[in-house]
Amino acid sequence: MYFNSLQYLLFTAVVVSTYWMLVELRMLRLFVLLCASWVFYMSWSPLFILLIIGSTFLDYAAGLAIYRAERPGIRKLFLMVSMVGNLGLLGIFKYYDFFAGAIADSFRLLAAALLEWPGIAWSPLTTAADQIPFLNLVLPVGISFYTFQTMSYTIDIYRRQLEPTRSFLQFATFVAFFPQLVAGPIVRASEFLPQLRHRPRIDMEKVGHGLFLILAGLVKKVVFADYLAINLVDRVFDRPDAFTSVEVLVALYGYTVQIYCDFSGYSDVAIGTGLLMGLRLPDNFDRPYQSTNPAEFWRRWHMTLSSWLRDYLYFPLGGSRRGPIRSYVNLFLTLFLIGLWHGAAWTFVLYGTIHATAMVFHRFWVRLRKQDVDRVDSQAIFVFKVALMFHFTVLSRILFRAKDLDNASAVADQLLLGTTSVAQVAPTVWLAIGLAMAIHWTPKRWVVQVKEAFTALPALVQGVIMAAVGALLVEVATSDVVPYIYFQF
Amino acid sequence: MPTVGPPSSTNEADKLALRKLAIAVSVVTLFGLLTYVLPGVDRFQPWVSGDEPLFVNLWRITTTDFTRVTAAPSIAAPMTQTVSSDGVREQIANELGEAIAVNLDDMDTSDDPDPQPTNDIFPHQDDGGTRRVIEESVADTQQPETAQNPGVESFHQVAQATKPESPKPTSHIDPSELDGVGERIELPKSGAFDSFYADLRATMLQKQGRITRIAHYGDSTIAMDDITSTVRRRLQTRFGDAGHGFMLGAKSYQPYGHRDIVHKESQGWNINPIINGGLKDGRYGYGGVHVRSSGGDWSSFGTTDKGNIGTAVSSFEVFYLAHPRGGNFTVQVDDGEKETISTTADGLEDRWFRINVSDGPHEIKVRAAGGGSFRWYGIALERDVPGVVYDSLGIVGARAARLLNADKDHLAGQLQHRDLSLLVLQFGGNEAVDRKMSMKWYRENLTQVLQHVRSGIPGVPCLFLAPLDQGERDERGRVRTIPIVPKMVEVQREVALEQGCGYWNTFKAMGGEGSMARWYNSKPRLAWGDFAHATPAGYKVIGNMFYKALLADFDDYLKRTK
Repeated sequence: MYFNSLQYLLFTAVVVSTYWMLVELRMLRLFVLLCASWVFYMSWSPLFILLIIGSTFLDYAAGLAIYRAERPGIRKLFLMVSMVGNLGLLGIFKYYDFFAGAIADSFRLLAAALLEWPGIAWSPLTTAADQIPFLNLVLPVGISFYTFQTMSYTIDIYRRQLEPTRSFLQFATFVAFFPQLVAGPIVRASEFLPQLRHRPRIDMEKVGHGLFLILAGLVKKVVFADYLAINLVDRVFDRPDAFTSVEVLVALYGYTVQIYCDFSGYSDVAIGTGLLMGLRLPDNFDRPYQSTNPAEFWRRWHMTLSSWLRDYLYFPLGGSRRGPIRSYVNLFLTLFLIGLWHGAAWTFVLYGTIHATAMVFHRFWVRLRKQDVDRVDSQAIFVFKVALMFHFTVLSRILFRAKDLDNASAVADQLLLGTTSVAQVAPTVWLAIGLAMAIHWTPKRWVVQVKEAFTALPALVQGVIMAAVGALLVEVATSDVVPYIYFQF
Repeated sequence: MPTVGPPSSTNEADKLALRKLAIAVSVVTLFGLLTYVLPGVDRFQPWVSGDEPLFVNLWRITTTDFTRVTAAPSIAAPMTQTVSSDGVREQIANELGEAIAVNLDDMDTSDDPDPQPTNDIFPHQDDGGTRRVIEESVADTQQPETAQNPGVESFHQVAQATKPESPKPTSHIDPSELDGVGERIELPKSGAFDSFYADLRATMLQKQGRITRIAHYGDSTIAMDDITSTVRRRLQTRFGDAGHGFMLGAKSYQPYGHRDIVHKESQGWNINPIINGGLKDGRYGYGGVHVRSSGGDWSSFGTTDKGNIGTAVSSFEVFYLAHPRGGNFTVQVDDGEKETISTTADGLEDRWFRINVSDGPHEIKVRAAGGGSFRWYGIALERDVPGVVYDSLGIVGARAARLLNADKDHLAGQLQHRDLSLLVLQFGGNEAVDRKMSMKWYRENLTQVLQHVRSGIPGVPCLFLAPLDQGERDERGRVRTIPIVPKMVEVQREVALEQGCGYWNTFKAMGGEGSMARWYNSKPRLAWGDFAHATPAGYKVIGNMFYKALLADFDDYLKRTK
């Protein structure tokens, strides 16, 4: 059930109405919300709901056990149970086959290398490589998101930063809350559970902002992301040799717009739906392509993932408190894992490595120049930095989008040919990219002003605007609903 | 920040906000309902009969929900769901038909001709290593070949392994090879293709020098060599690889490319596609694109090191035009000596320059060397072994009528030179845009085109292929077949049969009316969102179906003439 479908809108309307009708009956209200969330998830993977339920039970119990245990060793033991359970799920479903394949490949490479050495038996290695089992499991939708959420819960309790909830219903609703279940934002228990504990409140601002975000998210998805995917990006990545260098470059700009509009559009709808139920979800994007360096980019792109890894990986590793070398290592490891989080494939390994290297280089450069991070650059330097960072992002997206390394290499080769025609880029594609970029680089306050203006409108006018946007979406929409990119992670 | 309030009853702010929300949603709902009542706005109806029912299919459990059925993931193909998954196949069979499901399954083998894909995860490295052995061995083997010379022996063993293996001679088609045969070829009369099949049988029996050449003209659905590369790979795997065949001298801005060949070019070539007209002499060459340079521009063509098809060549043949102001061009094979050829002649004269090389991996570079204007059409890569050559001759934006821009005698000469066993024509994709085209005019024009093209090779069997289904949005945004497409298909069929050509109905093979929309909605996606072109996966399905249609007809011939 995609957000950009009639089914989702009807489903949300029913759930939100029921939710407010039961507003005074907390248990029943949460029960309905939990059932709705599970039903929503089952539209993706009917039986994989068992994984969510299993994960919910595990972390609910682990949270209570950690909290009640006095001895540090026992607390750590329960934390480990939670970690092993969550990371085990992720490992089995997302990474096992990739690493098994990598080991098998290594064995074969080693066997091929040993072949050069007379007298060394090598065939057992290839036999071993052939015997490595593969699971061939489908990746459950949203597993990377909800496992991170539940892990943050038990870790926070272990750190004594959070008290566990006694209510299984509340915890299960926190894990499965449908607007953000399959593609984030990654919500922390400390910011969401208190909202479930109390009677929700709604006001004019939440209604206006919620509706505005849902509309904006749908426009981003349908008008920009899907349109660019269908009309240029997918084709270029499918047959890069059919396009000139400039067309490939335009497709990369297009993909850069597409992935932002796709993912931030999803987040907008999620946050907007949450607001209509009086529940606030954290922001996930802050105009990332305005960044001047890698550090800023990752503070603005998929903010809930970056901050999650900062709080639960980078800081525990020592952050920047243990000297520059250790700081570089920690930084590299964190960014590398952000890359790998997106997918179990060599393209993401390289993507993570490139961004990690850029991040480390940036940190090194800042230290070397003893730059003040708060220094304000001149306009020209600022524009140069933004352009540089933007193009670094655009080019690294080759690895993000390519189906494998061969495909990425083919795209890069085509890019380097230096051919210049743009005959295959439709005027509407130029328009979509240009418009999206222009909006992205407008002052943030403009969007805030539009949002506030929409919020201040009478309900009738809001309804008319929503209907008009709906008609626009019908006009622009492709004949089928195009899945959100981040669902695959 | 969480919104926390006292545990009291609903307060006024909540009520007002919810009332506002209810009104806004009611207005939207009202507009949605009005689309069912008011005339002229039905295109905005949220749901109509014929759309997928809401909710009912959401909680359906399929086998693909849990496991992928796929080979071990590798660097080259990580974590992808293959079409060989039983669940995917079942779904495609239900939605698009059994024949398409079977031919989608066949995609794996045609996409990667490597016979042992799961055990060979680094084909590039392996091939490169093998080639190095050859080069080193060639350098080391100045002595006569003897059994005592291990270097010579290993060279020959490795060289054999590098070249495509010739298939074993057979005299029949195994029924399993016809699995998934769908739409069959319609012939104007029994035995109309016998000369083609006689050639193919000789090739199948691996008789020395028996090459079966096929030329496949078409529009943008052919220009990227997706359908044709599938057919070529399958024919060459089955009957023998006699070389890649013809490729244009340069593509310039055109979206044109071939699989199983490595092609590069400089940017300065001046090209005249036949679709533009403009050449007074009408000499657009065998591929329909005239290429020209006064000097400095170059194109290179080489064998591929991927897979088993297109890995070897034993002759390069440059198709060019000699003329009074002709310049020179040079050819250089691998790192060998450059050879300069003059293209000066008293009048206009189509010529061919052929270079024979040892059968194996090679690259040729053709460069315009100044001294005048170098005008050429392309190059053919072939091997002197029994097998099939399949020339992919797609021109972006082409309509069949554009072939009339070619000088009749020139075109006849080009076609005669290729010594074709079968001529394939596939047009209609661009004509479908001419919504008001009269079918009477189309019939007359198509008849004229077939006569024009076949005049030089009247004895060569001809096969016309229907265009792909092509969709457009109706008034409410749903995709339907452009109404002119089925009409054109019927006219094409009638004209082809009248003119003594066979007909293969691509449109029908895809599923007929509405198939482009179904292909677009299928998973994996088989058609693009322009509803005019298939994805590479879709083209491969068509290629597989066409190959099997040819094979099934050939099988009939074999049984009939046994």
